[in-house]
Amino acid sequence: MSNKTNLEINKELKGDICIIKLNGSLNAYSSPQFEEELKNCISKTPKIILNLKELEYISSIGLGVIIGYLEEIREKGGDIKIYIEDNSVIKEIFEITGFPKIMSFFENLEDAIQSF
Amino acid sequence: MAEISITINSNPIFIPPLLSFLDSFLKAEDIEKEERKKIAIATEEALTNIIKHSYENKKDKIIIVEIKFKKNLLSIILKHKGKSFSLDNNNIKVNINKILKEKKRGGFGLFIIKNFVDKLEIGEKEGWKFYLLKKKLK
Repeated sequence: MSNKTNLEINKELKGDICIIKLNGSLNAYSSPQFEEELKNCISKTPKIILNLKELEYISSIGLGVIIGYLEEIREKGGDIKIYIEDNSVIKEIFEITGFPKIMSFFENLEDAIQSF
Repeated sequence: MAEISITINSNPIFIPPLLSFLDSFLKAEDIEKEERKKIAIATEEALTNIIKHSYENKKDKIIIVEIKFKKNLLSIILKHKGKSFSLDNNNIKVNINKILKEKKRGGFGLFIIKNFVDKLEIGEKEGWKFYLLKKKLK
């Protein structure tokens, strides 16, 4: 676990899937910390689940980190799936920016795991 | 009417405490949590734009943040002395497939602001460049 900023990150390897749980704010200040953890996960497996159920806040910089690695991960045969509550401001941000057109969102972690 | 002005340096480290203050300010005006989040997100996007594009990531420049709440109308003015930024309100769009294909990371900020406030104005007045965010609340 790391908590240098206002973002808490927990990583868990479940089989060949890396689950990254974010709690707090993914913003300009904390995005480098998230990117470091994401890169660390990608070095182990291209199958990533972002657990954003407890995420309070995401900015465009945070969205940029996610989309910035999506193609690379898919080229390696993996993907990034999002586990998130349906009625949240965070989900609204993903929706208005069009992310559901290019990524899969799940309201249940088990469904996200099974989708790989 | 509630009104306050805060001056910060153009360093991202000051964004979280500023947003925390903004949240307390709006909480005192009984603004609900989801609305407070949207306002914080829009404010951060504008601040990030100023730091990244107008001040080109220089951390020692000045940003004045003016927050006013009057008759259920919230106005947040972010003043700076950096580079100008022109806004075409009719051309703020996001093409997610293009961003993905071209492996870009940006292009979301203004779109998010526009969706989370009622009015976004970017301009210049009395020697200051500014972002003006307005939202009717309650």
